[in-house]
Amino acid sequence: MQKNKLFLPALYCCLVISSACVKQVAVDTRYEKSKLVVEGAVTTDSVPYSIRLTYSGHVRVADRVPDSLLEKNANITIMDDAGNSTGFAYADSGVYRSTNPNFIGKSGRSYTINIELPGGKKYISVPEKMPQKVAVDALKVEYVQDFDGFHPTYLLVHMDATDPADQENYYKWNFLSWMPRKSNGIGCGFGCIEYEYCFQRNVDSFINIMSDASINGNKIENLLVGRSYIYWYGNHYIDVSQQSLTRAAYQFWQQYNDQQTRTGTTLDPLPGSIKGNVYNASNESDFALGYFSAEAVTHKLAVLVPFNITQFWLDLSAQKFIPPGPGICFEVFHNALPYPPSPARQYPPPAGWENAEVIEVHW
Amino acid sequence: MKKYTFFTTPFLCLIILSILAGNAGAQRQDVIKGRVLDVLTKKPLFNVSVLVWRSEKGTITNDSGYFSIRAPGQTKFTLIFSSIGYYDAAVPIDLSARGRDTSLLIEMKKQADAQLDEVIVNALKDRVGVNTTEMNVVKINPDLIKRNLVLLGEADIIKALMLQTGVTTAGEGAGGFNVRGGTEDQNLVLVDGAPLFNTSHLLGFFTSVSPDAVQDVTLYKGGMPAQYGGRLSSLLNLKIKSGNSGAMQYTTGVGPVSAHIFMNGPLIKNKLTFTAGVRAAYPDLILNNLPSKYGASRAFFYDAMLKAEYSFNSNNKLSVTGYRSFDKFRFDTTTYYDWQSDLVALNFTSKITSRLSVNLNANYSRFISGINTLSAGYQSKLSSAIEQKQGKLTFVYSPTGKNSVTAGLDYIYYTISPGSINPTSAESSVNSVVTPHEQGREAAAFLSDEVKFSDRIGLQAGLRYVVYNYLGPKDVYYYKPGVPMSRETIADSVNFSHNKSIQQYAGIEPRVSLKIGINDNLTLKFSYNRQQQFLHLISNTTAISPVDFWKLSDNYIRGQAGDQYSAGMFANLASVTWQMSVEAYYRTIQNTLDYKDGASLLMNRYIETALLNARGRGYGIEFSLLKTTGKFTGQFNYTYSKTEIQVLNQYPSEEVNNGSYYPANTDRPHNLAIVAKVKMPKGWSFNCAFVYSTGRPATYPDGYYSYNGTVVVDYSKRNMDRLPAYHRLDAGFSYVSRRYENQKRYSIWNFSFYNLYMHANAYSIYFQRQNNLLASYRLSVIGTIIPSISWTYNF
Repeated sequence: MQKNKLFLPALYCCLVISSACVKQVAVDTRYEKSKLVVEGAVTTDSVPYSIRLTYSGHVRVADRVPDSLLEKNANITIMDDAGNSTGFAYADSGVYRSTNPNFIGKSGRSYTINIELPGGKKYISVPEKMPQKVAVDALKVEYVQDFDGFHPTYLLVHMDATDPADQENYYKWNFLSWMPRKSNGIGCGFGCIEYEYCFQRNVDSFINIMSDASINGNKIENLLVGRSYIYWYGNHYIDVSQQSLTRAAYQFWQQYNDQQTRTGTTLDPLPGSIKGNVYNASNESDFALGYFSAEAVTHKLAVLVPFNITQFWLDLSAQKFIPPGPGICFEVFHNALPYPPSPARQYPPPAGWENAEVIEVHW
Repeated sequence: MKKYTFFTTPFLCLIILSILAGNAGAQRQDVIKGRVLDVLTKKPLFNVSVLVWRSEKGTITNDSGYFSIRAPGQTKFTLIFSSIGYYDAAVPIDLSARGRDTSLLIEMKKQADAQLDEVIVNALKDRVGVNTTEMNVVKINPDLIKRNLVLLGEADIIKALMLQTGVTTAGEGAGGFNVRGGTEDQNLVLVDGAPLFNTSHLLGFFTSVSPDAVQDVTLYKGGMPAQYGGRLSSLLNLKIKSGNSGAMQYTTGVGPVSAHIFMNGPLIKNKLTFTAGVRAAYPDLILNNLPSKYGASRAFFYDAMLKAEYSFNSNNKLSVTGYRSFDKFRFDTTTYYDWQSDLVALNFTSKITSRLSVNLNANYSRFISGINTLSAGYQSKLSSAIEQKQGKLTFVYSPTGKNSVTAGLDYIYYTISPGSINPTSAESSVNSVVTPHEQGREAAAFLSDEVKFSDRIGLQAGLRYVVYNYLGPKDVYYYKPGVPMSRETIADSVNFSHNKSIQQYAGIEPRVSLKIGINDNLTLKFSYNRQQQFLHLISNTTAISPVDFWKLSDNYIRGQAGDQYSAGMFANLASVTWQMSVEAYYRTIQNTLDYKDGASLLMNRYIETALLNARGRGYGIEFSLLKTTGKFTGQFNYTYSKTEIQVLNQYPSEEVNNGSYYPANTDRPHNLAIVAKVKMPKGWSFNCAFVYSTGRPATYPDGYYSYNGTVVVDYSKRNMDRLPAYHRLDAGFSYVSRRYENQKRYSIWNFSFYNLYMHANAYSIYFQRQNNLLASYRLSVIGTIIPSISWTYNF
């Protein structure tokens, strides 16, 4: 009854609110001079390290940078303040890999990158002092029965950690999962279907960062780190990596995140270049885009075992994500691993998860 | 440090000028003095035009309703008193019969609404100011705003100002307003003398002071009188209604999202009156019934006003004004924003002699804003606040009809909390973190004189001398020379104790306005004004937002200083049926602020490392044509202006756009507003308004690159692009049921259609990744027609 009384004002308000509209529009784009883009890090993880050199310009799809915007002939050196260094060799797509297998990042040391471009222009970075590692205490996983046309139901992963009180800490979390997937496979004779199942590698792209400015020394509790989607029966293999950053690197990611999450409202900061820490050695105002960082990383690996998957829920939430027609699973899905043909609901784990914690998820 | 002596040569010149003017006037005795009151409420009426009939002599009443005017050569003549919303009064004067008694008491009657014929924004019959010396001034009658075209049923003061030349906004739903290219924090908004730091409800949809509470609205665009200071761009002076001394009066009204009730009347007959009112919004009632897409949104606001005025006798009066406004809103379930303004103003006015009056103003004002995090485990509130305590003593001395001297002292003490975080739940992991408070004091002395050298030539000259001190307790950081300031380049820090002066700035602010009448209907005016501002709103967004906070000038952030030169021509045409003005200005600003790319502002103890010192310049020409009488009334206002900023720095890496001038965020060159009103029979009238303005500057991407698996845009040149032009047509009808002058009970109905042709004006254009492809999107705050109906009942 109350709702009926408020029907007219509600209709009015709907009109007002829905009038606030977002519409895709075309705008004329100016192109300023291309800038060097540096992407890479020294970490406490194993080598080789990767440095990617590209240029800004007309890039519309991230993994399809035009060949003209790749820098393939640079000389790159990374050195620390203890006199160690490593060179880099070009691999592909603008990516260089470190050549010294003994050059591994250590907390407390400062790292600098030197880049010499073919024309002789030199870029150097502001030294990055590798922070201390901070351990992940525990992972918490819950099943979320929320699905739509863009994703099926999923496992939601949170984590706990303890922030050290004796230092400033800046965190960035990455989340990786291997999710079981199913295609229709291909026929292999009468009644036989193979290559129906595979694992797909999923990396959450949202930027998850935190400063301990207001939580120094306290628990970091129940922090959301990622989702692993349930497309099919089987275990999920997840890797939660917790990176300790420098303050400057944290601010870089903060700007990066601000720019990726703009909504056009009054709360958006005014746009600007995301300035990193690499600049022209002979002209400080000529800075490169991107950031060269030193990151201390801890990993928490786990095998998630969803217990209550039913065919009913899979049909309801995930059936639409099985592409129609025959297809080899690891070819149909991007970033997928080939696994033995069916029937095989219990796959061998990807390398590295042999001793990972097993977390059963019931609902 | 440069030192100034208080009574410097300009001050002496001004005093001598004043004495000479006084002596000149003393040689003639035919000066008519008097006071103008409302016949019903007995409250003084200010800004009433006093004209000698069939001559070009004229003046206006001061804040206490007093006036003095030189009589013309003859002994018999007529004075015409006119004020917006009141019937003209004609008073025949016979000097031979009155002898030396030239003191008048004029009581003016308020017009019945049905007979009002002014346009929405109007002032005197001499609306454009042919007879006054001051320039750059806009006056509004709040009663008429209620019959203006409205958005969401709420009559609004700032939206009425937007239709004037030189006043713009960042966009629909943006808080604050911009005057002649100035930023929002460069406007001084006073409520009975106390500053209001936030002027908006619902992030800018409504002004936070209801027109029902206000008796008079005056906007000074840059050239404010010497008794005011502290802001560079404008003074918006809001006078709260005094209570009716005769009988209780009530006004109530309801619109689609809000309702209000105001009342005023006597508490002790002829001694104590009061005005009280409250306005509250109830969008939550409706939002709860919306689809889940909008169901998480919440919004609420209220504002309340109370004023009490005690008259000791006809010469001494004390008033106390109290005001509070509160806003709260959220878009989702994790964060909500709230902000609150409080002020108290005490005014004591005394007429010491017939020539000398004094006003003592003491006020307290504060603004608090908060960002509340609701996420489990991190429940906390980030707050910032500003508090101002002010005392001001003003003397007005009118020795003759041809000059009026205003002098006084002004003292302000600021306390700012730039930011603090506190947990709001026992389960929260958040610690209490407080950014150190700031303190500052601003002391000023002012002296101004309005001199009429002849009936056609007048001069308003004033000086304001300001001394500002940034005070301890505070840890002040010093940075290594030769490298840009950053946290890493801190070389030393010094602790300053309580009330110890850390930095002092001082300077003189001259204010001059000259009127030269060419004939009875054509006047030329010239003015120069200098202003200083030691208070800055730190905001790295397009418009005022809840994440902004106030900051005092310190040893790194200097006081802003602005100079404005203006010239204008003001004309009455066709017996004042049409009025026209053309004003041109040029202004410069020193030490304004801009921000480094990606500056981190909130809770930053080293805020100076995130800010850039900039300078600005602006110029413009404002054309206004009004028709103020007849069945058809209206106005045509057009402004062409430019406002630019330059960031020059000893470190090229910190320059913006390579150190070149670039358009300021407020730069909107073309602004046009056309307002028309047609009176119809039986209390009906038709209103329409068309507005157009150039889109504001924007920064679009000028390069794209791949990083972290996504396409990232680069914005290397600031404000080199522009949003599409803004234009809108509103139309509507208003109905006033008042039929005769003394009718106490009557209604005002307002039927408005905002954005009649449903143009989706861009509030912003932003760039976002969609399916791994980058696309540009236009956000329109109001993209369709918004009909609204509101009802106000007076009884």
